[in-house]
Formats: sequence, structure tokens, C-alpha cells
Amino acid sequence: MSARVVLLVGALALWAAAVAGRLVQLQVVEHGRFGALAARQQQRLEELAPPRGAIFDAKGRRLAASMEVQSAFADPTLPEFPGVAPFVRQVEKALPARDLSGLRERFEPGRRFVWVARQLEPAEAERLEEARIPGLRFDTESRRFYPMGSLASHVLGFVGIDHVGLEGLEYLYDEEIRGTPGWRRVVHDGEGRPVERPGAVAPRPGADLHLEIDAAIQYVVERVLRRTVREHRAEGGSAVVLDPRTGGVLALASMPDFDPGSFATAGPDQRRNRAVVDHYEPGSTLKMVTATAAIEAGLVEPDDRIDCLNGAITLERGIRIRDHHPYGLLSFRDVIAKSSNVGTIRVGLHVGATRLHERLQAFGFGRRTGVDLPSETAGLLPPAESWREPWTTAYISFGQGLSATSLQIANAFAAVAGGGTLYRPRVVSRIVRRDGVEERRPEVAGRPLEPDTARVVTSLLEGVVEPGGTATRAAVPGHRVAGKSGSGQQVDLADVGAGYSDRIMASFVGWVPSRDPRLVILVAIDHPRNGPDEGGYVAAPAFREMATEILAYLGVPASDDRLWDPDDGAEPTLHRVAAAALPLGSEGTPRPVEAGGLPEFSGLSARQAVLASARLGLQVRLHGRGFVGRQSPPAGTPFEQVGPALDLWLQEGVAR
Amino acid sequence: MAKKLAFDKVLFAVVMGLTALGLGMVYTASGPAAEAHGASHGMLLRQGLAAALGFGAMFVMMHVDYRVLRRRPVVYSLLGGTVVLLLVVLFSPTVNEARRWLFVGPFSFQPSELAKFVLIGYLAYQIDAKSERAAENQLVAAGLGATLLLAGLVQLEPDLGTAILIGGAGLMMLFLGGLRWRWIVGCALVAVLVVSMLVVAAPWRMERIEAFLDPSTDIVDTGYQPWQSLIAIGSGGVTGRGVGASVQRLSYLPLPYSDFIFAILAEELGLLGGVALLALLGVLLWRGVRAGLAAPDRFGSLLAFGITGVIVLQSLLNISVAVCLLPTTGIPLPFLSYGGSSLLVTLTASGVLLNVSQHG
Repeated sequence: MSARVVLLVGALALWAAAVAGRLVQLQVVEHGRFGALAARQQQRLEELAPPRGAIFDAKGRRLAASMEVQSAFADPTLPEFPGVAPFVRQVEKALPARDLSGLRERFEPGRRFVWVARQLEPAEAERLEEARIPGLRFDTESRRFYPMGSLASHVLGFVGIDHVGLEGLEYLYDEEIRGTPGWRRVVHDGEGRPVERPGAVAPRPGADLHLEIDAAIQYVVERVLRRTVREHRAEGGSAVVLDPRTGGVLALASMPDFDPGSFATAGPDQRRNRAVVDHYEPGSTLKMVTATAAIEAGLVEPDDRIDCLNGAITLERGIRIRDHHPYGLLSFRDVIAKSSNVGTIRVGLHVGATRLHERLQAFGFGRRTGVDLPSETAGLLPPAESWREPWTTAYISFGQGLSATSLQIANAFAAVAGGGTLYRPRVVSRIVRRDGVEERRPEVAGRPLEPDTARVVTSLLEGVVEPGGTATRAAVPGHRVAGKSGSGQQVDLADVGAGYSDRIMASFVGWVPSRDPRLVILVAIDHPRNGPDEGGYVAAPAFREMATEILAYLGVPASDDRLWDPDDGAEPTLHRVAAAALPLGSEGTPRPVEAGGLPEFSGLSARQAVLASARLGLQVRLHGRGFVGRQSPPAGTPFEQVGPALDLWLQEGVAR
Repeated sequence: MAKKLAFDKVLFAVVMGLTALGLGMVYTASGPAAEAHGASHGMLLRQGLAAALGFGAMFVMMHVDYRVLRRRPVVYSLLGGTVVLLLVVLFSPTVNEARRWLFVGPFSFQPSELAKFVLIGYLAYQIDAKSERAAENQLVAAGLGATLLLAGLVQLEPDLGTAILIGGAGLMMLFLGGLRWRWIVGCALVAVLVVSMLVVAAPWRMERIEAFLDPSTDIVDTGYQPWQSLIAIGSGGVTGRGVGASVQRLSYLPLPYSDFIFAILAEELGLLGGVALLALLGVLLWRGVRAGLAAPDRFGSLLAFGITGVIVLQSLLNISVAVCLLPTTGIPLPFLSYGGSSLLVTLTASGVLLNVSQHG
């Protein structure tokens, strides 16, 4: 028997040895392979989205910010997943207000991850979570908010659903403000539930942008521009406000505009940043360049007399150019003030193609200003060799036959206003990174004219706004204004051969106060179709309204005692200006009402109400405790009729 | 005899060690971390209760002279009782498409676990009773008859894995009893033939064979369990992931506390743990055979060889399945797998073995 026992023991021992060998094979030789297989099924890498940097205006007001929101996704491979049709039905029931078309189609066979609804509103997320739909999971994503709605929409741009900036500053500075994503390794069980998180690399938040743009100024500009475009049934418009001392862009607006928080519903016409993208034939505003060239060359003095040939000049081949009004002898000052084409052409021909072209280049025409906004166009400045004397020179001397953007024109005027220095316009003043702050300094782009020349040209342009000039409607109470109106004729791009159409770009560009410039403002209205379409009629009043309110907002004291008799006689009240500083409907501020005037305070805390009233220049009397319920005077009351104090009745426990 | 009777301390320590290891593994495979993944509450408690009962039975058997088991009424009432239980279990409620459990109040019991040790006792009795060669025909008739009866009844549940194990135990006893080689080889061939027919006749068994031959081709269905077992073992490496750190138990490897508990052991304790378990089994084999060789009579020797052999045989079968050296059979790992019947019966048999070892 013992022999057989030995045999049995030997057989079992051999077997055990085989098992041990197999273990060595699996756990030593093939450990790497099985370890990788285990990791593949047990682990996943989750990307941690970095917080996108915020965008602030010049006064630190938040123009764009990111918030963490919930996004819902489905894992159809989970055992509890009820099937596509019942699942979609339950989601639709929980989110009745959301467009869920296309959700069904996203469930392709074999997919383990299907977005159901991204960037949910907090209330939506709550409803979905309460619905406890089997197979539905949540993930935290960052969502972009624009607390001031459509304000500065073209400057800010927008961010796509995958957190990539698509337009405006969001696009141009995307790499700065996007941040760097982090990663997290998650070990999960067979059903995808996390078990442990053995390692993570934290995301690096993006940098914050601080702008030269002041939301209050931007608000005034947009409000006036919007109304002007509407009143003149124009196709659109743009406006630029520059600080001539630094090149800072204080406001930049285009109409129509859009809400960057829901950019997908806006058409290309709304999204286009006309102020830097659209280039047009400026018309008479560019007579400023002709005058500068002539004066600096010593060819003409403001009081020299020029024969304006009774309103018509004949160039070669019988081309005749006319003035709106026939003039005889005019001083050069009056040629500019009354915007005589004939007078300007005669001076321009005297300057000649070469010098005029050089001067236009010096002012930055024909090349991009280099502003920190995407998609800027350079405009068209025909090379001097291609100018056909005399008539190309003639046309260009009064601003036809070349094209420019609103920003280029405003920037050229800023060079004159600033005494001869051309700056590169600048939207971003400061980039605040985690590891330091980058200040953007004013950047000189050229010196297109001498300070002496600038003084002479300034006095010429003051005449434009004074009685007898083409743009008396641009006059600002309490300040002298220098500027130039323009009514640029446009070629219909769909039918270039037909020559100039009836399409006019009505503009006014100027600065104020003229001898101590604080603001350069350009207003350009595209194709006004309601009554006269001259820049002095359409754009100059908009300039006046913007300048008046902005100067008051900036607290610039009156610089000129002469009395003006403005058409509407309306003195800007502090209330109106202060309201402009509050263009908000955001958290913690009173809600503006449709009709304008006093906003709605209900729902605010006592503290928020007091702060907001102070910013509106109002005293406030609080009654009771808690949150604002009733107010007197009621919302919508014009500011002029609001007394010095506002009564607010508080009640407890009704925060909005 | 002046010699003081003392059971084998090493053998006792191995039995205690294996039981403790088993409780630990059931805990880690079914404990709090695994409860969210299908392990029911209190598995450790139930297994601990079975261990306590088993230790009680073991101590009783250690102190009852094994020769009591050679008495004819005891032998036949054990065999008869087992047959009755195996018949009754065929009318018990179906669990997982098989009738393997007898339910008594809150307890359940698997008679097939009992059957293999009863068969060993019965065959030891028969072989001891017949003289060496003279009554071979009778031995073959009685031995093969009982083996086929018990294995056949277990296969009716159905439980082919345990039936094969019972058949193997019977053949092993007859082999040790000195049955001639031609009989042994003949029986083995017939057994292989019968098992092959049973496999071919049942599609799910055929799938198991196919999944075994190439586990990576069918990793979502039949081959899922062995494939996940390989991943668990392979990812354990030399030193393992650490005690309680198995990830494969979390809804990857189904029923990780059951037949594939070795995979969790190898994942957590690595090659060192797996080889340590094999070493413990080796010590068990050595001390068990030693007890058998030193037993004062042929019955005691056969009992010791049989009990030791069937525990080691079953362990190697189970581990071979876990490492994919054999197709999935569905038998538990003695001492380690969750299951009260298995632990209770194995500890009781260990008590008998320890009683035999007193004579060493």
C-alpha cells in the first residue's frame, strides 16, 4: 500500500507544482499584462475642468464669470437603465422647458456615456435629481455667465459648450483665461461607482482680464446707439469711445447686438463686431487728414481763401464733383466747417497723391490698428502708384475711394486730439494670472503729425461744431467739441459695377473737451432710411448725448462758459447718469424695468438695497426687517420725479 | 501501552490556520466594502457560526476513537442516511437551477458535502474487511457500487463537479486499497467517457469547456468568471494589492466569496499568498499521510489517506479552475470558500484525521 501512497502523494505534489508554476506565470511573467487589463476595467481618468478666468471692467465690475453647474449624462450599460424610450420620457417629464430633441439619437449602440442635458439651471438640476431616473448621472461643469446681459457682447464674445472661447476676448485670450485642466484617477467598481481616488493633478485656474472698458460708459453708448439706429431705421451702427491720452478703449459697441449667454440664437448679423470688422468709405471725416497734410506741408493756413467754384469742380474726362451747397470764396476754416468737397479737393490736389498717401498711412489707414480684438480688418488704402491723377487723389482727399473701420477712424482722430501721438488701441488693461499681474502699458504706434499742426487742426474741427458748421448738433453743453461729420457713400458690394449706391454711412467723430481731451467718440450709422442721412444730422446728436452723460459720469467739470441752446434742453441729471452705472439685472441689484426709470427693489436684502440706492444717488428709508417687499415710489417712475428719498418696506423671509 | 496518546499538533495547527485564513478571506470578499456589490449581510457571521459548529464536531471526533467508524451498523447507517439525504434533497427547492440544499429552519445543508467523506469511510471499511486479492470482485462490486450510487445521486441534483470529486475519491480509495491497475485504468477510462458524454449533452458545460480552452474569446458571457479570475490573480503580482484591497471583488468577479475565493486571495496576497496556501496544503498532505502510515490498523491508514487525499485533491481541483488550468467545475475550496456545509464537514473529517494521528 505504501508504494501506492507514495505514487498518490507524488501525483498530488506534481499537480501542486504545476499550479505554483501557473501562478508564477500569471503573477510574475504576465503580471504587467493583467495589471494593465485590470487597470483598464477598474480605472478611469477624469478631466477636472479649470475655472475660467473672469472679465472685469475698468471699475472692477464683473462682465463675464464662470460658475460650477451640473450636467446630466446617461450610462445605458448600467443594469438599472430602463431603455432609451422610457428613459427619454422620464427626462422630458422632469425638464419640460428644455429642448431635448436629438437626445434619442445620441444613444448609439455600445456607448457608455451620453450627454443628456448640459449646464443645467440650478432648479433644473434639482428637479432631475429628485426624479431619480435610473441610469442618470451628474457631473460638475463650468458654465459662463454674463451678469450684464448683452452689454459689450461684441467685445466679450462668447464661449462654446466645451469651454472654448469662440469670439471676442473670450476667443483672443482663450489660452490665458481658459486655465489648464487637471486630472483625477478614479478606481471604480464593476458598475462604474467610484471606490477610491488614488491620485489627482489639480487644474490651474485661468487668468482674469481687466478691461479699459467701463461698463457705465459702455451702457450709455449702447443705449444711445441702439436708439439712434432704431429712430433712423438704419441697418446697424457702431460706436467707439477712446481715451486719447492712453489709447484705452472705454467703450466699443455695435448694433444689432446679442446676449453672449445664449449666443446660439443670434444670427451672424448680430454677432458681427462692426466697429472693427466692417470697413466702409468714411466720407468727409477724412478731410481731417487732407487738412493735416496741407497744414503741415505749409500749403495752406486756416484763413487762406479758397475759391469753391460755386459748388462744382470738373476733373479730367468730364468727371464733375459737386458740393451740397454752392460756395464761392471760403476760408480754409470754413471749407472744413461747411465740409466743401470742392474746396477740399483743390487743397488735396495741391498736396498731391504721394504726400496724401503717406499721411493716410501715418494715421494708420490701410493696416490694422492692432487692437486686442479678433477679426479686425485693415480697410483698403490703394497704393499711391495706383492712384490716377487727378481724380483718385480728388476722391481720396474727401474720404471716398478708400475704406476704413470705425476704430481706425476714431484712432486717427485720437492722434490729433492727443497732440500728435497715435496709440495702439487697447481693450485689456491688466491680465491677472496666478503667478503675477501683467499691466498693459499704452503703446505708441506712430506720430502722424506735429503738436503745432494738431493745435491748428483742432481749431479747424472746432468750427465744424460751432454755428455755421455741419455738426452743430454735436455740441455739448459746457464744453467745446472738435470733430467732423461724414456721410460716406457706399458701393453696393453685390453690384460693384453700378458705382455708388444710395447707401450712406452717416458718422460723426470728435473729442471733448477740445483743448483738454478726455473722450474721443465715434458714432457711425449704417444706411439711415428715415429722413436726412447726413452724419451731422444722424450721428452728431448721438455723439452729444453720449458725451454729455459720460462727462457727467466721469465728473469732468464744465470747461467752457459759453451758453449753448441745445435742441432738447435736457440737462443730464445725476440720477440718469448713476442709473447708467447700474446696467444690471444681476444678483443683488435692483431689476431694471422695461419703461426705464426707477428699478424694482423687491427681494433685495436691506444691505443690498442701501448699497444700490447709494449708487443711484438716492437716500433710503427702511421700514421693518428682512427683505424688500414694497417700494415707494413704484418701479418705473422716471428719475426726474423721484424725490430725494426712497421708502422701502421690508418683510422677513422672502429672499428672491 | 504506556505511550501517551497525543494528536499531531502540526496537523492541528494547519487545520486551524486554514480555517482562520478562510474566515479572513470570506470577510474581505463579502465584508462591508463588498456588501454594496451583492454580498449579503452577515456572511462572516454565518461562516463563523459554521466554524464554531465545525470545531465542536472536530473536537468530538478527535476524542471518539476512529475505530467506532469501523462498526458495521455505524458504517451502514452513515451510508444509508447519506443516501436518504441525497434522495430527499432532490425534492428540495431549486436554487440556481439545482437542488443541492436541504433547508431546516434558518439553516441549509448540502448532503453532497457529506457524501464524499462517508464514501471514504465506507470504502475504508470495505477494503479493510476484504483480504488483499481474494475478494477483489466483491470489493469492486461493493466499492464501485457505492461510489456510483453516491456520485449518481449527486449528479441528479445536478452537481457534476462534486460527482466527479466523489468518483475521484472512490477511485483513489480503491487504488490505495490495492485494486489492480487494469481495474483502476478501466474505471478511470469509463469515468472519463461518462463525464465527456455528460458534458457534450449539456450545452452550458460545453460552453465552459470552450471558454476554458480560450478564455479571452468569451470574456463577457460564459468565460467572464474565469477571465475575471485571471485578471484578479495576474494583477495581484508577487506581493498582492494588500489585505482588503481587492478591486475585483467589487462587481467584477461574481460571487467572489464562493468558488473563486482563491482569485481574491491571490489578488490581495499575491504569489506569496498563493504559494503559502499551497505550502499549507503540502503540510496537510505530509502530516495526513504520516498519520496514515503510523496508524495502528489498515482501516485507520485508509481513513487518514482518504480524508487527506480528498481535501488536497479538492483544493487542487478548485485552484486549478481559478488559474484556468481546468474548466469551471463549481466545487468550493475546502476551509476557504463561503459555505457552512463544506466547512462543517471538512472540520469534522479533520477531527477524524487528528484522532488517527494520535497513534503516530
